[in-house]
Parts: sequence; C-alpha cells; structure tokens
Amino acid sequence: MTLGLVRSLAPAALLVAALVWLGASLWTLQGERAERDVFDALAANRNVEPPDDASGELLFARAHYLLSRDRIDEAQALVGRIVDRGGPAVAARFHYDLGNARARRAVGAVEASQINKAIPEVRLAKDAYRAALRGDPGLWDARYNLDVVMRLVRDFPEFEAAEEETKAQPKKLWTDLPGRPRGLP
Amino acid sequence: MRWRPLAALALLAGASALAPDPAAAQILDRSMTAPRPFGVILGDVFTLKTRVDVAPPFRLDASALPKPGPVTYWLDLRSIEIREESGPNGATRYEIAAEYQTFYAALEAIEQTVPPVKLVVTAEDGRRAEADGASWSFITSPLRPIVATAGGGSSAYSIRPDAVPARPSLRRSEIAAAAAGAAALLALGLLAWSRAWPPFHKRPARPFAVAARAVARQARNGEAGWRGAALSLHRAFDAAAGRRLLGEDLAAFLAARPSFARLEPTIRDFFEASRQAFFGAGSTPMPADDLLSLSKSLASAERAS
Repeated sequence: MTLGLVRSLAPAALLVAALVWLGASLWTLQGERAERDVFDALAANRNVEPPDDASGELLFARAHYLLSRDRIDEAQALVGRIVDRGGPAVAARFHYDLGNARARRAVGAVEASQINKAIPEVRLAKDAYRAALRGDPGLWDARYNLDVVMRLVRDFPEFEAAEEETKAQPKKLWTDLPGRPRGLP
Repeated sequence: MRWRPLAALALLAGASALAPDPAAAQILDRSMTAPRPFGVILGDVFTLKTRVDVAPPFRLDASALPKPGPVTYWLDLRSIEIREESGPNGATRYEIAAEYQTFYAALEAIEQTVPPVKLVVTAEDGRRAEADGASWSFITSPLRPIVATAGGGSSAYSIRPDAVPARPSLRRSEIAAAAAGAAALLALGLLAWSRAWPPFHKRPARPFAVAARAVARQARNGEAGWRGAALSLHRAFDAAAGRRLLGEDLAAFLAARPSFARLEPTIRDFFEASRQAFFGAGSTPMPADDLLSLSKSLASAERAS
C-alpha cells in the first residue's frame, strides 16, 4: 500500500521539484544577466549606477569606472559594500585601484611642483596599497606601486613618533599663538 | 634567534621583587621557529612560531599577547593563534603562531628586526611573571634599483596599471538552468508515462487509465453513453485480466491484484449493473457519477499496483 502510494505520487512530486529548481535557476540566470548588462555598460564608458543589491564584483567595476576618471570620493563611498560582498580578493583589487588613483594625483602634483599637495596624496596611496596587500599578499602590482610611492615620500620612524605625539595632545590648540599683552602699555 | 637570559621579572608583591629571579621557574622552556631570514621583500608574509612550556600553577595570559594590527611603521601583525597542549614534566606547552607582513620598502639589502612578543604568565592566586619572546632579524631586499633604469625622467614614477574588473561569466547559471529544464522535461515524461497521458495513452499496461478517459467522455450522454462507457470499462477489465472477464471470475482476478481489493464492492456492483443493463430489464441501476468515480479509482489503483 505504502509502496503503491509512493509509485503513484512519485512522478508528480518529481515534476514539482524539478519545476521549482527550474524556476530558481532561471531567476538566478536572469539576475546575473541583468548584472552583466550593467557591467557591459560600464565597460562601454557609460555612467551607470549599479543596483542596490549588486555583487561585490559589479561594485568594483563601478569603482574602477569612477577611479579611472579621478572621481575618488564617489568611489570611496562604495568601499563598505565592496568589502562586505566581494570578500578580501575583490576588496584588495579595489584598494589597489584606489591607490593608483591617489598615486596619479600625487605624481601630477609633483610634476606641477606642488609638493604640499602631493604629500597627503602619497600618504593615502600608501594606505590604500597596504590595505590591498593585507587583503591579498599575492597582488604583486600593489607591491611594485607601493615601492614607487615610497620613493616619492618615504616613511620614517621619527615622523611616526612625532605624529603620535601630536595625536596624543590634540587639545593644545592655543598655546602656540603669539600673545600680546592688552591694557597697559 | 638569540634569547635574552631568563630575566623574567617576578612581580610578586614588593618583597620578592628584588630576589634573584624566582620567576624563571615558571617559564621552563622557550624556542622559536622562523622561515629563512633573507630574501624577504616588501609585502611578504611570514609566520613566527614560539613554543613556551609553563610550569603547572601558571597559565599563559592570552590577553597580554599583541593584538593583530600595526606593530611598527613598517610591520603588521596579521593574526596570532595560540595552541595549548600538555608538555613534558606536567608543564603546559603553548604554541604561539604569529603571522606578520612587512611593508619595509628597502633601498638596499638591509637587516630588520621583528620586536619580541611579551609573554605573561599568571597563576590563580594573582602571582604573575613576564618574559620576552625571541626577536627575529631578517634581511630585506629592494624590488627596484635606486636609479630608474630605462627611459629615465618620468618613468621613475610610472606605476603598474589598474586592476581591471573581470567580466562575469553566465556559464555556470546557464548550465544549471539547462540541467533544471532537462530534469523538468524528464519528470514530465515520467508523469505522462505513469498516468498514460499522450503520447503514452496507448500503453497496454494502463487499460484503466484509457477507460477512465473514455468513461469521462461518454458516461453522461444518456443511455447510449452509459452503455458505451460500461463497455470501455469492460474492455479495460478484459485487457487487465488478459481474457474476457465475467462476473464469476472476479474473485480470482481480485485475488491476483491486491491494490484493487479496496474497490471490490463497487466493482461487483458495476458488474451486476452492467448485467442488468445489457441482458436484463434495460434500466441503468448505477448512476453515471458512480461509474465515473469507479473508473477514476480503478485508474489510480492501477498506477499504484
């Protein structure tokens, strides 16, 4: 009886299961196809915003589009989502591209003899390359470029120590102002 | 891999602090394994493993070990893991695996030193002792020459190109969708075969399914329709039995097919009714609805057998 019931109902149950699977896989395929359309639009230099539920790789493609146009601030707004959804490997490539964008700005400033503008950009580029290497030590281009920007402005232990000191005493804002006695001459 | 003499500081309250090193007894043995100490370049990751044996009442204080993060301006601690096992002479053996990453951009081959890890052991009664782990020196080498070689000038600052995002591939999803489609078709075919739907409607093994469709078509079309439907059902019984099946043979027929046993009273009613209809007074004592439900039950029982 039980065996008979199974033999009678199994084909219908199998069909339902297969249809559910088919629906799920078509849904996934549809989503990936829509995502690739956005990707292709970005690759064709069209300014397209990725959807809210975009994958880490697509967000990285958007960030790459922005960074190659020197729109660093907009790209940096994507960092949290890229790290969350793309994992360390995608995040490492994002940080590498970010470092490259900073390094391009720094080199441009150096060539225009604006050293004061170059220094903070170099510092940010170094941070970005380090973040890239932390996420993916096998990213050799990041090592090379970190070496290049290190030649622009080197890290020195003395600078670090001096910086930590200033961080530790942020409240001394007024002590260095030249005082001028008022009232009596 | 030089160890400082076991100058572990006994921080027992006041009195014993100046006594000649009783704390050395708490940390029995320390050793470190490290990778090759040369050929290290910017961005390399290396693991230093420290092994410490701690005498029984004392335990290693894990919270005193450094946390992952920057150690110096050129060195990061990526992760630190502690494994605990029992060592010789009742001691507790700790294996501390510290993974470092160097960001030292060397201009020439130069020696660098990883600062030692501070080991703190504590006992339940609040006693505490400290010792330094080993420091490790290695030779780190530059990636590029100091003077930019080819091109000169601007090429000194030329950087490697951007990482380009990879175009996502749909292949996996396409294969999955195709497999799901094939599975759905297969399941549909199996269902059609099981229920003797077209193109399996001529299946000899499903005479009752064929009959059920014929009955559904004919039964409600008055007297002639009822007769046609009954005849279709009789042909199905004949096909199932392999010969002409009369009312008298039912017992033997049902005994061979246990899945029909449940329907035995209805089947007997049907045979009686059809005898009345064809050879008797000519009335239709079995309503068309009953005939229809019997044919459906028979088709279902046939699938289950």
